[in-house]
Amino acid sequence: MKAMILSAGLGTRLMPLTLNTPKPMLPIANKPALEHIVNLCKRHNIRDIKMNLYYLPEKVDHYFRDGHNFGVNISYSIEKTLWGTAGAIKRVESFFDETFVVLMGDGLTNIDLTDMLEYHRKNKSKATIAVKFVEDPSSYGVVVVDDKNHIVSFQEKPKKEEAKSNLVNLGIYIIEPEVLAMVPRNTPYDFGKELFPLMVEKNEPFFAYSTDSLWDDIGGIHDFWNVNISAVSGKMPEYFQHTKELQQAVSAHPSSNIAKSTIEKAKGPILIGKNCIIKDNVTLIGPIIIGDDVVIEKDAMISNSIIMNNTGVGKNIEVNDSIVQETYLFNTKDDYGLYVDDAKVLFPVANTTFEEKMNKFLIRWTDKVIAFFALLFLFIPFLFVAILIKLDSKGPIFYRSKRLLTPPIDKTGKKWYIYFKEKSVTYYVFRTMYADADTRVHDLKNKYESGPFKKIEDDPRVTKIGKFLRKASIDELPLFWNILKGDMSLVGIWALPVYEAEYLLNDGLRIPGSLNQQVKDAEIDISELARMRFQGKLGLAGFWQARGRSNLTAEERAIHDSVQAVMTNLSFQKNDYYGEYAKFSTYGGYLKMIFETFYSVIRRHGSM
Amino acid sequence: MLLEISKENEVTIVVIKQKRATMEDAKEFKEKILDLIETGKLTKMIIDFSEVNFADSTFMGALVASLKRITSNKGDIKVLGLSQPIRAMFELTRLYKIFEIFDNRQDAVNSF
Repeated sequence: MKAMILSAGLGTRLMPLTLNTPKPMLPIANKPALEHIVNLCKRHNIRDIKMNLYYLPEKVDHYFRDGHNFGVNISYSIEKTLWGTAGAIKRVESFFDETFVVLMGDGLTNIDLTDMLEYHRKNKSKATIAVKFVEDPSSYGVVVVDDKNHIVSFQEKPKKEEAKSNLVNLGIYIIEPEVLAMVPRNTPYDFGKELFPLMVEKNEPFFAYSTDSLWDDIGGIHDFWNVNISAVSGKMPEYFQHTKELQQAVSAHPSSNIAKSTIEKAKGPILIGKNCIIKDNVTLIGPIIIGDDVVIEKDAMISNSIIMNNTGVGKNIEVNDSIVQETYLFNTKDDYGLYVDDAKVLFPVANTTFEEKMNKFLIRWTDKVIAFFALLFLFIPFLFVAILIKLDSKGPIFYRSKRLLTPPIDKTGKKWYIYFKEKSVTYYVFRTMYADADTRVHDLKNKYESGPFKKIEDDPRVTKIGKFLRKASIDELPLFWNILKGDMSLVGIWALPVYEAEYLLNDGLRIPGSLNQQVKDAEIDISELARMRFQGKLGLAGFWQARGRSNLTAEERAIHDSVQAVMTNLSFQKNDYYGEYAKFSTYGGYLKMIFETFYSVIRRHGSM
Repeated sequence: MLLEISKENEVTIVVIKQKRATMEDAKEFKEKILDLIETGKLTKMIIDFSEVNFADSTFMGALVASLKRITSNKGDIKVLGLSQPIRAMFELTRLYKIFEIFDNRQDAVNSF
């Protein structure tokens, strides 16, 4: 038997937990919900698994890869648009050449799939639905059966008194591949709403398998909380498999280091993950779940909370009744805030390896040394340039330009508050335009096609000397000052001026199907791709500067930026996942990028 | 740039017969594909990456340019057989939101 694990959900009701984590990757007792489902498959000898992904697919793919480490074979169906439960399977129909089970990636169950399969075969069923008896079925899909458990009809969330049965659909199905012939191609299609009623109508062999096994899902924040707390309270002993009991009801992975004084006064139930450091005199009052790579400083206090992976709790800080979200994975500096329940300020702690630290150290100091010598060497030429600018037109020598890297994200809700601080930097560049240029940019917008990444041809605002400075790439040389200050690196994403960044955020980036203006709906929306640039670090030299500068189209630049942004953020250890690009975030990759850009600038290839 | 071009049910399938698809080949690839689309008035195309284990951002730019051209014929390009590093790139940069990805050739052909 093969398996389809439906994992494409957006998890909107779980925001902000799903801001950086797809719903099936949210932890239940320190392991992704999806991992529990994969383990269930393995226990029942199901080795070939397909998962459909849509929201943040890389998080799932990166964790499970081909399934080798989990003892199964996993392949993915990454959806461009959502296809619905049955449509998702139809899309990759060729995989399902034998009986298969359909499971939800965000569900938690210990259903006996072997027994269910036996039941399915015994009845010569074409599809079997797992059902459970509940007192009040009013918030579920109700399955109505005859005395032989043959399914005769469905009811969707009926009123309690109108319900024709107390059996509810658990979203776990065993299906024969020939059923897929009933699913139309290339259109979203749903099991519950479309396929199953059709099967009833056609009187296909279609049975309900009754079970009283555990079954929960993490649809909303409260479910997420309840499922975790009941797990840690000892309902599922397999969750404590790899942990060591330090004290009554206090268990931790052996790799974690917890101070004695903290263990002594801890009150369970508490579950602690891998590689955590919990220092002296921390008050822990359960139920608490602490994820992997968490650092808790001295004298902190935690009660009734879930602390997710790779976060830190500072000295003297109190966390009560909270879910503390996983670190923003791409950045572990302390330059943004994560506030939970307003008063409790938490900051993430970088859990970096020695190699990564060394890498960062080398890059930072190379930046500074090169910038220092560049400024020293350029001091005299800069004086000449300054004089030329002054003589050419009225106004200051330098132009102050505010550039935005990361826009502020502000999410407020009942129980939580997240705020990523805006990251911007003020650049000092040689003034190449007339002093009133900024006020004229809006007039120009009407006159010329504008938007992010579009340079205006023969911009009338550019001064004579400005034109030369731009062509020779001299105007930006004062940026070495920003590099020396540590605002940016030699290698990184070109920071967009604020108006361009805002344009990209609000209006996005859509490219029309070229040439044929008549085809109106022919438009490719690359907004999401283009916005990936906001995850990168700022820098002077990047992919597109080294690959042809302004000759590139808007989409080519966007692709270069987004690839560069995500590749610089890669963690050092996990690099084989990304092939050759993995080297990009290393010191060697950094040096290579500098040389390539330098070479390109020397050739003045396409500048301006 | 080594490409193998075939047809199946009006779908043009382009197999990239190289291990690396990068800057050096991007221009030639783009020209070939644009020419194919233009002369054949193509609307259905699959680009098969099964033999490729690295593609860079310039090459991706060429791929998007090709999509742009076929879109003006109201057509679509789907991609097939992404190896792990290339799949990672499609995932991370959200290219999967503009190209439909398949593992199996028949599924890809059926999707038009």
